[in-house]
Amino acid sequence: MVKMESQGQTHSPIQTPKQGNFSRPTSGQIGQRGRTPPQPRLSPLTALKKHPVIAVLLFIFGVLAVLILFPSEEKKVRKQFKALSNVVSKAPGENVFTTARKAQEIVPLFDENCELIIPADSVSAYFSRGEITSYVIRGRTQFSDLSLTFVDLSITFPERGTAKVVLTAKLKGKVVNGERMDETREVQSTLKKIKRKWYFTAFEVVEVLKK
Amino acid sequence: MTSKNRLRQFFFPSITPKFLLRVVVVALSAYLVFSYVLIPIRIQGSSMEPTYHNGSINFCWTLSALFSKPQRHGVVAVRLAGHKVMLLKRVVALEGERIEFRYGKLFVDGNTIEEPYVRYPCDWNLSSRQVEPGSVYVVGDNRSMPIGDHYFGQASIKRIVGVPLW
Repeated sequence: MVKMESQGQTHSPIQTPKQGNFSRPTSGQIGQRGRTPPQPRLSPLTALKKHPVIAVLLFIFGVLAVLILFPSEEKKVRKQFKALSNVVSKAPGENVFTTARKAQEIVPLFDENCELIIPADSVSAYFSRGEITSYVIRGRTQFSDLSLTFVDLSITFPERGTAKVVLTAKLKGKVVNGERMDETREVQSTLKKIKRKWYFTAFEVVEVLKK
Repeated sequence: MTSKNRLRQFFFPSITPKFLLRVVVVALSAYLVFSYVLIPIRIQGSSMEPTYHNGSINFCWTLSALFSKPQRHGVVAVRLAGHKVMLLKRVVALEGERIEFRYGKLFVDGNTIEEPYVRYPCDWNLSSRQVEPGSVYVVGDNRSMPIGDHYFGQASIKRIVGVPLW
């Protein structure tokens, strides 16, 4: 039979007041029983070091805030293309108010004069803001639904205040008479920055396939 | 390790540094392969009918364009501004050659070229023209539409991204 013997003291002996080890708490100690001692205040840097997850999250939020509040010039140029795509595109059954709003939104996207070059059709001409607006409005009425999308945007800034963009433009739609249209072309566009805003100044359709 | 444990380990792997490294390597390889070597493409439009159907899926094999020159009758992907939209066309004439269409028949340097891949009737007429150096002449297989409605012509060899995998 194995004899089990406790090695060392596992429980502290219960002390009773009779044993005389208890002392009366002082007036300062009354009310302090059970509370943790006050910790010294941490500096923000020390606190972040102590909680790296919070530090990483704060860093990410900071970067996102900077990116949103102070967009780069490239992002501003992209935004102009998004706006152009939005005003040209037309959803089926678009109401009159949306049409009118979009017509108004076209004007501030373009410079006073905008150059259009289509080598395949021997077109090279300048159009005023008013002309462009009327062309776009007229063009939109020919379609029951229309979508203009820009992909593969490659933006460069050859000089201060000028942006050159090479992109693929996809124009897809359904003409009022039911005919479908699907055109994809490479386009080279130029934008100028006037008073902190980017305006379209030129569009050139690149001849990828020359007949 | 029993088969049950193996199955469990496969579907619910323990997140170890080795496993994470493996995930990163696989993700990076997939990104590189499917962005630059085997670009997935969805064919839109009917210009290559009946060889390639509208809506079908394929891959663009880019190494072919890097290591070999485009050949006559070969199908190539021609890029526009980037790789998101490409034109799928067939090479019918090479640089320096003269191309012409007479009543739908293709002539290269005055000789008739047989095109078994053209299945639909074609009545195109295009006057003779020379393909510029550094370019190839590309046309779609579906020539049933009027010549003005079909997007074709000479493309710079630099714009050829690759060939469809099948």
